[in-house]
Amino acid sequence: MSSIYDKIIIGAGLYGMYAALYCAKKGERVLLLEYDEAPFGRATYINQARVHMGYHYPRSLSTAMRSAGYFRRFAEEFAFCIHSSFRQIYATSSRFSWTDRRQFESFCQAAQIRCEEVPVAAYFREGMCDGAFLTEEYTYDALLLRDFYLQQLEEEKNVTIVCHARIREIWREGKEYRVEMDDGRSYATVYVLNASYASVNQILQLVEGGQKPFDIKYELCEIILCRPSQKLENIGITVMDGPFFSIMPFGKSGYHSLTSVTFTPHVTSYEKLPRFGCQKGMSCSQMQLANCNTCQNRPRSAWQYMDHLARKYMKDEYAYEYIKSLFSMKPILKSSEVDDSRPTKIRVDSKYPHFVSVLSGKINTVYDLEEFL
Amino acid sequence: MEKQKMQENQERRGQESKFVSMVVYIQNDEERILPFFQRVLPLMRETFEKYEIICVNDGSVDGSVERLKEFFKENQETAGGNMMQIIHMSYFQGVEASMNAGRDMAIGDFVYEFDDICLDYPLELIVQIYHRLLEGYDVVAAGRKGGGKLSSGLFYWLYNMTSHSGSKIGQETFRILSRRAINRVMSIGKYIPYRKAIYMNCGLKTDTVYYEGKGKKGRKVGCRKERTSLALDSFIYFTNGMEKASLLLSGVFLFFTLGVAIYLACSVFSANKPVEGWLSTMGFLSFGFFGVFTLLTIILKYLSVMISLIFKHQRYLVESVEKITG
Repeated sequence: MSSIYDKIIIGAGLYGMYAALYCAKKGERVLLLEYDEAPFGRATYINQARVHMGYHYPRSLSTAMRSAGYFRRFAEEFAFCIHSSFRQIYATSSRFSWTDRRQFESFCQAAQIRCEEVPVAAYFREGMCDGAFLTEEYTYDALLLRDFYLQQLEEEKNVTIVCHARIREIWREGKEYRVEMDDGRSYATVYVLNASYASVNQILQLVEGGQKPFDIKYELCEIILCRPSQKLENIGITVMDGPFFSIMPFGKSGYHSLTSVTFTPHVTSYEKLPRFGCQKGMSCSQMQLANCNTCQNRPRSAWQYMDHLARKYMKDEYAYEYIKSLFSMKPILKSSEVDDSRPTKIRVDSKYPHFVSVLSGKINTVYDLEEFL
Repeated sequence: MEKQKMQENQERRGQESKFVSMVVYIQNDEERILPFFQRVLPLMRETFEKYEIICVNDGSVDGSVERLKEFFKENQETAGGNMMQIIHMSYFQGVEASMNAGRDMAIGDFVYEFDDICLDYPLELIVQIYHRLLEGYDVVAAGRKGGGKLSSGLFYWLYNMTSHSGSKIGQETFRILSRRAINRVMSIGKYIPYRKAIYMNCGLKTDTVYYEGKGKKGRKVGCRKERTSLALDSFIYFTNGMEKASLLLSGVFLFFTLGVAIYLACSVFSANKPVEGWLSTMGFLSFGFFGVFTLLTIILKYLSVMISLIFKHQRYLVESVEKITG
């Protein structure tokens, strides 16, 4: 005998939690399945924690406008976890950048986002950057966000969260989907939302007959947390647009996150289901990714590389020290490499019963989900 | 024997904690890639705790890139998790532009530049110039004693004669730069047409370590045309040879004009009259030439100012940067 739900949501990251709360408010019965022991253990927590205003996409105006559109709404609705009182500086590198000072400026004008030129020499070594801009961008604190959702969902009697969930199979039976677990339990629903981000293709594989996977590549990414010096404390710096770096506040944690385009991704897998050398001997496979952050086979930190890259650009007074590294798996849609856009992909594979998959690399496009729920 | 001595040295010294970048120029070097990296990679691993290797592929049309990728994929373990990147130039742009791109990409405290992957020197020289640098130099080059082409010798001699800077340049196989030197060079101008000259002009302490070359030097014939034009360019960029030549010529004509004027003055008072009109024609001609060359000198001066403005433009095109992982 299986329990029946209005929606089964797979993956307790922000997208899953958001959808769960949204549906619960509509009075639906929701089941939220999470593989790890707790929600927010992977990409929602382990990323730059940037609330995108669009500055990141000078080569994709559409992505930029879309992020900018949701920026205000996200910043207001989730004000409790937003850190907004720091100076976010975007700079264009003199060399190897795909975008220069003037192009960045006119891009910001087109996207109608704030961009005030500031003296390059205040932050960077001579000759390294050709333009620096004060922008408006925030950072969110994933742990505060998680606590908020846990508390909200606890109040909703219609939502059940199952952690350590091991899905064996998903199959269709008439106008219902059935989700069978390893422990023998099974659930029925008319709507499955696959919000498992890096595991999106593995979930699709569990569906009877197999669903068409997303065309993605996988990168095992490292985010470094550092303690900023007083001078850097209230400053975020991002150097654009190519193999550069970013160092900016990490939510309200008091730490800064340090990432680099070249050194943050450690290994890449181009297969539809990710295969990595480090999976050998671990409870991690092409069919089920374990949590990279708690894995014993985590790669060695690229701290020295990222540190040297940042030091090459920033003046010495903006100092920081290493605290720890966080690792997570990042899926990247292959179609978006040329213009570096990061579209939010929502794919409906079936209707009545519904099977919907979402894949998004940005936190504030979570609202895109609403029209599908 | 050599190797043993090197190992002993390292054991005494321990690994260097400085972060070193190695920029290597690759242009149709299929055959030489393996011999070079098979010897140099272990040396880097033993000597430095952290390093990165940046290969600049300057429009190679042979299997260079494939060889390179294969080698580094196989040697991931040996490379000790150290990074290897390839910069693909959009098309063939020559060693200067390519190496500029490579150096701009490098993030190390110290940057090695290998313009050529021919190993005609003892391997330990690579470590030797690094130690020389630590003694307080900002640029240390490894130069080969003799064995160069006659034309190159003539070029360096002429260059050193007319150059603005005190430091002399010569044949260099590879060199190491400090981050300070790179920063200095960056603030001089954005465009660096001839690295050797700029490095020596940067006003920091520089040195060259000479070695006796083994066998023939490996510069390929295909590059000759490009090097000749670069040599000419460098004369114009870094020396005032052209200006001096023009000034000299205007001096000669000024002298000549004066001579004619004196002769004219003398002939007015003497009985010995030359052919009618000869003096005025000669006087006009030499004065005219004097004027032309003076103008030319001024124009050349202006041009040299304009050259320094052109320095401020980025002058290489990169197609992509590729990171090699296992």
